[in-house]
Amino acid sequence: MKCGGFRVSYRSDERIFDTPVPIVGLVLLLIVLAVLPRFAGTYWLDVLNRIGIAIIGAIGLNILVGYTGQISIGQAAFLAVGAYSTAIFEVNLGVPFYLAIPLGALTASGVGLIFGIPSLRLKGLYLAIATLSAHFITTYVIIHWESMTKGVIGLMVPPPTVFGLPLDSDARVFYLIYALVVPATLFAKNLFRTKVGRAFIAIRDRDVAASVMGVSLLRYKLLAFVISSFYAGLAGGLMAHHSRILFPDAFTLLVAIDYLAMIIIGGMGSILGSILGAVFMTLLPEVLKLTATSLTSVYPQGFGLIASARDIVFGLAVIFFLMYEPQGLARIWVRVRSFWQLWPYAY
Amino acid sequence: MNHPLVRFLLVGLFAVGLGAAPAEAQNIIKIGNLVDLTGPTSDQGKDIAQGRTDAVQYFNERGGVNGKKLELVSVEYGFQPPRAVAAYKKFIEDDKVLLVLGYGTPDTEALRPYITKDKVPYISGSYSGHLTDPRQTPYNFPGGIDYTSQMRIFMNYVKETWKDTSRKPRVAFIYADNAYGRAPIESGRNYAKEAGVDLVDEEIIPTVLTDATSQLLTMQKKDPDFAYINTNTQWVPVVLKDSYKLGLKTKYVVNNYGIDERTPKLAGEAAEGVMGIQDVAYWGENVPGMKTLMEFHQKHHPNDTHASPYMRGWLWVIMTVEAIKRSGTTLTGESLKKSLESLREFDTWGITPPFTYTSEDHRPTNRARLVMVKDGKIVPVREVSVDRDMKWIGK
Repeated sequence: MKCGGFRVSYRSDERIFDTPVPIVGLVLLLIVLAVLPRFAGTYWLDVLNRIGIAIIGAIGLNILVGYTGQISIGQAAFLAVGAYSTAIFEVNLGVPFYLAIPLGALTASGVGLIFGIPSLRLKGLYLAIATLSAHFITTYVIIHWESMTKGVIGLMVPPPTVFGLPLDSDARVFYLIYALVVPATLFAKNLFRTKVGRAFIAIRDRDVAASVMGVSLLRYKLLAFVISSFYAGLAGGLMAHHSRILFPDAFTLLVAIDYLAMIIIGGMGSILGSILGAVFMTLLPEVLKLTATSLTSVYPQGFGLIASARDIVFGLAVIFFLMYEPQGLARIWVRVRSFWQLWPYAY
Repeated sequence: MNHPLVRFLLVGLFAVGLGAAPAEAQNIIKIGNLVDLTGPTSDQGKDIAQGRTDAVQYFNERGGVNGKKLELVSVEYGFQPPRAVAAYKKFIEDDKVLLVLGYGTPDTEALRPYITKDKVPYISGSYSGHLTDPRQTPYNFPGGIDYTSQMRIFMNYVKETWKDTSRKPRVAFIYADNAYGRAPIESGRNYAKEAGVDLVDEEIIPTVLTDATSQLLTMQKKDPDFAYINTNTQWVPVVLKDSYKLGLKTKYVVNNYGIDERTPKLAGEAAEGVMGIQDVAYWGENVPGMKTLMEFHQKHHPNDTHASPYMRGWLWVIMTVEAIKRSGTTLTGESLKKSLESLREFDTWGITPPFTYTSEDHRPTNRARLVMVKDGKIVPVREVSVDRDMKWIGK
């Protein structure tokens, strides 16, 4: 029996999966996802849809922060640009949704390109503050450009029609979202096996060394911003179709922090980590909310207390994760997997 | 497998199981309960939630309604519309609630198309005028006198008290930068022209307000005689204090959600002489239903105090109970809507002026009270009203 890395050709070295088991698992997962809307209730579909959107957004942010090392707290802004431009393309210009979503994502990457420029001069916390400005500028524009965005009143997005079927139920939007989650994940996974992805990682590890080796910092830093905000824009476009009403309030700074928390909890520089982080951060508040609601039916007078305690529990859970598993859920997954792979002889 | 993380996840899974447990009995009526306890309007939300919970418990202790017990399915949403939309979906699809006790204007206005499609009666804490036209929003029932009517009352009051014949009175609007703050503004502008007052300035303040100096300095240049404030009780004192500090002479009138028993305590002497429009009775006031409320409070949680939002919590449950009673055995969204629309001069235990909803007009009342802060206490001045004009409906 072979153990450890046993690679004798470049082909095997480049393989994403070492064994056929995960491939079977993935195919099974896809089948489960395909039939899920038949069984899941609307509420859980709604949660799954938000998870799908969060996965795309988190992968996008992980490309920028986890892989390229450029800290950004502008993710909510790029989401907002994607969401609003998709909606405006559809509502005001009558563009069909299958064009509007990519166009919205392209708009977001254009905005990402502009706000990525400071990354050429700034690093670390300084860059974080520079991307913060992206957030405030975008929010200001959305609130005050009322002729386009309807401001704080909220912009309605009527459901688009596919082959005569309106995308008006969570089940139908579910397919739209996961039809994009799968290619988005595959693209990101493959990106880091290409020259571009390697350049990103080189910049993250030491940008001076990377530039000495011939990696163009200008080109690749900006490219990281463009790709990352394209993902955010995509997630935003899906948000527009999922919630069907857009508010500036849906894109607060807290959303940007949430996305950072997703990739930190999930695992920086890991696609699997982005997915796990997105699932965790979306599911945890729901689980806590359900607990609060069910406890309330037992003890109605405690509703106020229980609902407020939710935020505290959420904060504690995040601290707990950071302390006991700083490398994130992806690392836990690897540990659990290797435990079972080597079981019962841990040699 | 004794890792703390594993244990944590197990607890989480257990909680999911709890949440998904199906309701066992047929004779339970589920009611959606959406409130903000952590967001910028939690000053209202805490008391509203307590009032709703108490009222439901009160009716259940007396055998429920038509032999059925009420159950509140409560969700806290932090005044964030997207979370309200998610909560609404949960109410409708998973809990199959009969009626929703809604909350703020941004979320209620956002949910309008869903509510109309799902045919679920939606009694909202939002009194936005946009919810009063049954032709547009047949299932929305704003739970009090609409914001636009309040604004018309304000301008009528300004005109009545204005004695200077050399010029028209100058007014300003100060409102929160959200759908709630903005709801009555457009119709307010139109009515200013109709009523013959000069609207000289509009100041938009952030939802969460820490300082209003810059807005007030701009307003000072326009020198309005009266200003109407449309935001929440916890943010109004910021405006009042900053205005007091700057020495503005403007006289303030605040809408129903912006002034209550807490205002004099929060704003101190800056609140003196400030007026407000109030839709409900104050805590402990001498109205028929107050004895019941006080007794319930004494029995279950005597150590806390409440402000007027608590009365609103009771009010909307009282309305719900009446609608269920009138619907008898056929409990559907449609029958409940019909029952609510059959309320004529309905006595809400004296908490508000009597309520009337019809199939043409979802404005519950056209009457309110003018109140004033006097010697650190809030006191009613007189009852005020505005026409129930059909041309104003839905605006």
